[in-house]
Amino acid sequence: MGDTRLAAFAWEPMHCAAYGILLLPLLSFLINGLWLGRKSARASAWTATVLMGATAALSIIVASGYRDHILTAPHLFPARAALAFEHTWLDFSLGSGAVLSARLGFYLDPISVMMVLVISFISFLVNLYSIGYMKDDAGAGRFFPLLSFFSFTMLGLVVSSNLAQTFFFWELVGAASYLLIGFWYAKPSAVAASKKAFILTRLADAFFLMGLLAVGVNAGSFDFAHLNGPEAAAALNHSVGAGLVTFNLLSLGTLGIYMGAWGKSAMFPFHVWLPDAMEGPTPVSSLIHSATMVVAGVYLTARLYPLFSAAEYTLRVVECTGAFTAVFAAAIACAQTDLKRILAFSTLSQLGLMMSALGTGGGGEPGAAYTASMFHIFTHAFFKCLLFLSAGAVIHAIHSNDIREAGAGGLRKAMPRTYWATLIAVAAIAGIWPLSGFFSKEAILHAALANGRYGALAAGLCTGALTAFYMARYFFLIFHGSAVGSRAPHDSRATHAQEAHPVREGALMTLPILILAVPSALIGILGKGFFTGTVRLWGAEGGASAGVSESALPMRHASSGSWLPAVATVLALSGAGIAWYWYAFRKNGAAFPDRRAPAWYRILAEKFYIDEIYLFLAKRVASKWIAAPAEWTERNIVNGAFDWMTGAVKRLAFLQSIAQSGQVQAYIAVALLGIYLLFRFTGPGY
Amino acid sequence: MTLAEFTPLLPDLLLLALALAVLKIDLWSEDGEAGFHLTWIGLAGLALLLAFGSRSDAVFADYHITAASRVWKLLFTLATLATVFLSRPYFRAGGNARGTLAKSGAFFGLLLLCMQGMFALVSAGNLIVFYLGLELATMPIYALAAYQPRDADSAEAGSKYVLMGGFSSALTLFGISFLYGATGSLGFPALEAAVRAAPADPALWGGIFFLLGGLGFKLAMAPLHMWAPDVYQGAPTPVMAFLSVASKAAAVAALATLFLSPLNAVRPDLAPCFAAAAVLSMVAGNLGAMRQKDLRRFVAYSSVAQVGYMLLAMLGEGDGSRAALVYNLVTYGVTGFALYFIMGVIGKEGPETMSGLRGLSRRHPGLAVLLVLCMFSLAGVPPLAGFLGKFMLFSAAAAEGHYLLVGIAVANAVVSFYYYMLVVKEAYIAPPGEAAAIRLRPLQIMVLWGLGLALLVLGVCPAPADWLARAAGN
Amino acid sequence: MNLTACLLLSAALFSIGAYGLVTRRNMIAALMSLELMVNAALINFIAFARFGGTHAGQGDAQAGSLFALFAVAVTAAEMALALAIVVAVHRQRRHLDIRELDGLHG
Repeated sequence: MGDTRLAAFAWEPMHCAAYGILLLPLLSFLINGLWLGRKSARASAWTATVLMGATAALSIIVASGYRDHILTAPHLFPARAALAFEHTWLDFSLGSGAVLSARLGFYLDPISVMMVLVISFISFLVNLYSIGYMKDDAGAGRFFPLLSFFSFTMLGLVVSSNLAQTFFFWELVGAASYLLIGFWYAKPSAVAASKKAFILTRLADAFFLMGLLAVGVNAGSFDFAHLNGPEAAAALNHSVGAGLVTFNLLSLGTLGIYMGAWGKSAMFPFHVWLPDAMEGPTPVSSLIHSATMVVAGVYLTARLYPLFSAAEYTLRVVECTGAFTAVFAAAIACAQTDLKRILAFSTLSQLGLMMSALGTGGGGEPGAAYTASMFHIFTHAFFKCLLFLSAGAVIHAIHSNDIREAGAGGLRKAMPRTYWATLIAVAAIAGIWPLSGFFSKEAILHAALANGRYGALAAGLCTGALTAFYMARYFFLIFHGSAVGSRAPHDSRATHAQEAHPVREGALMTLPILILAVPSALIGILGKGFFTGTVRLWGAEGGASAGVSESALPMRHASSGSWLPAVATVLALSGAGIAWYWYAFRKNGAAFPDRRAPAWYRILAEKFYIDEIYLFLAKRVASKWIAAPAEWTERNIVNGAFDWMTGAVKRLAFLQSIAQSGQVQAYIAVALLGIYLLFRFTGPGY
Repeated sequence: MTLAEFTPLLPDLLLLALALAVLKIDLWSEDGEAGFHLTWIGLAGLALLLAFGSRSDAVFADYHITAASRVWKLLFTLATLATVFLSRPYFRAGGNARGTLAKSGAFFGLLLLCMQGMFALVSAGNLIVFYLGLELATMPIYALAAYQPRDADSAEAGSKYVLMGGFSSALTLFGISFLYGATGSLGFPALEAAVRAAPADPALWGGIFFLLGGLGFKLAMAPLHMWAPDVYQGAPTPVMAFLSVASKAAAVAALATLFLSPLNAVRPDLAPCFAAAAVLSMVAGNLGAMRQKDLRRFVAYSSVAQVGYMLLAMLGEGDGSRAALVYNLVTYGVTGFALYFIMGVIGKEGPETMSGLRGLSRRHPGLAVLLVLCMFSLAGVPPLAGFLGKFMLFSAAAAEGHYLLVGIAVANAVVSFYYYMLVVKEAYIAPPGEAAAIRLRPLQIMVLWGLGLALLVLGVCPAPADWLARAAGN
Repeated sequence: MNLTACLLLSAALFSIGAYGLVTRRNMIAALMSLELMVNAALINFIAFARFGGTHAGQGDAQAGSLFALFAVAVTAAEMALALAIVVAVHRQRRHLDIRELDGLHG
């Protein structure tokens, strides 16, 4: 890999900045957590925000240093990767004299630098936003240190130079999210949600740990630089037996690691924790959904992409889980009425897109798949954060999560800035040209096409149409909704709340929203060059080095897929158009899918021909055949399976407690019999 | 032999003198304070002596003083020291809701005698010393388990422990007799040579079978673990602490002493047996812990599960295994004692149960945070000490190719996570009534801070424990 | 007398002891059964010391006898402790039925 260390640049500002990126958020956590948070919530909020802002500034220094010293010197850094620093943390001896080192490092390559920028920038804005949002919360002094900690763990995760460090921070991210989702711990639902998130992701992490050990021990190293090289894949590519079954170590190891990503990125059926995680404060949701936590899974898959692309089977699993989750979650989102839940399912669906894009890489264009996925992580972080922050502003204003109550508030006039910002974000996620989402989605579709993965392509197109529909529905119901028939039992509360607190947009909360609107709109055009150039190159070379054939570097848009953007746009526009017609023009409220709404029958009675078509599409097809079954599966099968599992364990525990009868003579008998059987079946048999 | 040649033996001799002095001190001092102070000062001195005193190895007939034995002794000393501090409020009137313990001199004296047995165990050069050490490390606990006066549970715990303990010591004795028959000698070097010469001797395997039964009891390894929940619950909390940390460490030391040196030649044949016992222990411990309401019983089951994880190290090879064992014992001790001190604090006013933890976050937020750290560490969440311990154990097993076993262990860790979270939840549930704030003494605050920091420091920077582990490995 | 006979005797004793320990309801009787198990081990030691074990070459005959002596002393101490606990149990419950000792379970 050449000289990957940055010794020559040790004095560079970039080197110090790399330390600062990890230390400043940690410092903020320690200062605020141990001391300042208890003294003054306000001071702690500002300290955390300033330190996070400084981190964002440092990340710019690192990024520019990376561009100047590493990207421009491919002869020194052929992999375009370098270590800003690395310290040995501990060595495991492996019996045969081999030593497995776990290190703490700061790995610089296109995607880690990109993620550092995104995380620090978004964390800073979320901090800024939270100053206003958490102003009246009694626990604000506890909130900001935890938020800093969350950012710290995620930064540590993306810069890690080896799998051991990744796992370490991976678990920390989980712990931090547990503390933040359960932030309002007096609320039983918040406690339950945080527990669910933590336990489910840890269940997945168990597989990650196994995969990590299998890969690390057999490849002889945890370092990404080594694991992504051809030797590691070759060393792993053999069969081992465990009891009755034998399996390929490469598939097993990568699948195990992917299981970790599966849980963290909430792919079906591990997705159940994510919508519940909305119990946390909205700024936390926005962080979890945009820059921290859930994207960690996609990032990990991308990080080990060359290794994964050597394991064909694992890639197929990645593709299928991603594609299925994308469509499944988008379908569910169409039928939700809770603001934050709609956004949660939309995150699931977008993550599914990114995963499926990575999974398509087994074909002829690994670089394109890799690029597209990273590009989408990048753009998604901005518009999803924007969506959450503006949703938070709406919730803050109307004191309700219900999309139908929001529609009653006339928020378009009361919150004009939020209105426009949301419009940009909605258009971006729907993939409308020239906003950011358009470019990254297009890249994903192209990757699927170029690699010949037509299933993933169809899933992507379908998701695009559904996304446009439910996001437009979301937008029109909030800002263009009407009171007709939709404000049945809840309206009195909402109205009272509005009377008590007149709706207005706080400056501190609006500022981050406005700032985020800029990248949400423009980052697609601006970032396209970087991703199709640099990142793509890395992915392509990595794929090539791991033994995957790489045909041609230049994008093959013109030859094979010029019709794609047009089709995608038409699909998106028609999805949004249906939503517009239904929820804004016809002012149908949220009747769909609420069957009890009386408005439904009035419209039935009008018998417009066009209505019939829409009715058929929306109710008969969309609701009955897509959204309703998806929701049913969600409720009964997925949650049911998890319930069954916990129930089975509990029944076993009950049996165990019967066996523990309190009779010491029974204990002695069990001991004698047990030790006999143990030797009978596992002893050498002399 | 000159007097100077005895300096390596000094800690063992001092401990004996200390034990006898503390046993006698009740005759002169009525309030029991003198016994406490003498014990902790003596133990602290002993710890310093072991850490910084004579480093030379010595052999006194079949009593070996080596660097490894010094590390084990240091561990035992520190665990006993923590037990002594933990037990202090239990001797004060009103210090514990379950009733006040009396005669602190006898109590501490018995603890110290136990320690003497552990010292002998790790210095043993033949099976006689080994057996005597094992018995001396067990017998005082019979009395200690029944130490709570006029308490039916405590007497029941004592009688159960004595019956199971007697049974296991008979097994051990029977096993040693066969080892003697198979090898014709009791010294470790001769034993090792004989085992290597004839590893398939049926008498030898009979001996190993019974011996493993005896040690398995002390270790609380399934299927010999069933005494643990009952005894832990019935015994006074400091005794439970001693059982779960010091006594367990002694059992692990015995296992390591025997199976990593004189019987090392047959260990590969024993691997399936250790693997099965590990799985059984994890499953039994984790299933048992899920339903518990009493914290002492909860600790018992969770420690059975921890033994299961530690047995994974017996599958690995050489120094890595020993390092993993010692590191795990250290971290388990630190985590355990942090939890036991919290139990002691809530035990002042109410029962030491799950519901007794309720409202802890309001009564003393710091304690609640420490409890969260403890539970995260036991569950193996980084950056806490427990994570690294598990990581080392799992990688020791994975390095030998036991992927299925690692899978089972990891799945068990997830199940255990569920009940550890239940404990955390209790601490953050609001109590029904208004709960009084908890006031801690300065000494308590110092100890709790120390343990909390150790939890973090050992997890982030394993160097101190690593040093211990390496010293124990050579 | 030969080694096999001694080993058979000790095996029988050990089994009788184990059976008694598991079945006798009276705590003192259970302790007596325990004593039988220990005695089985002691017979083993003496037999191996007297006749030599299964090993090749010269064994250390004294070690076995010595161990038996130590074991007798240790067992005596153990029984003393056990009886003290029996007394404590009897004081509280006025009976010594092991099967009634099941207050701690689950």
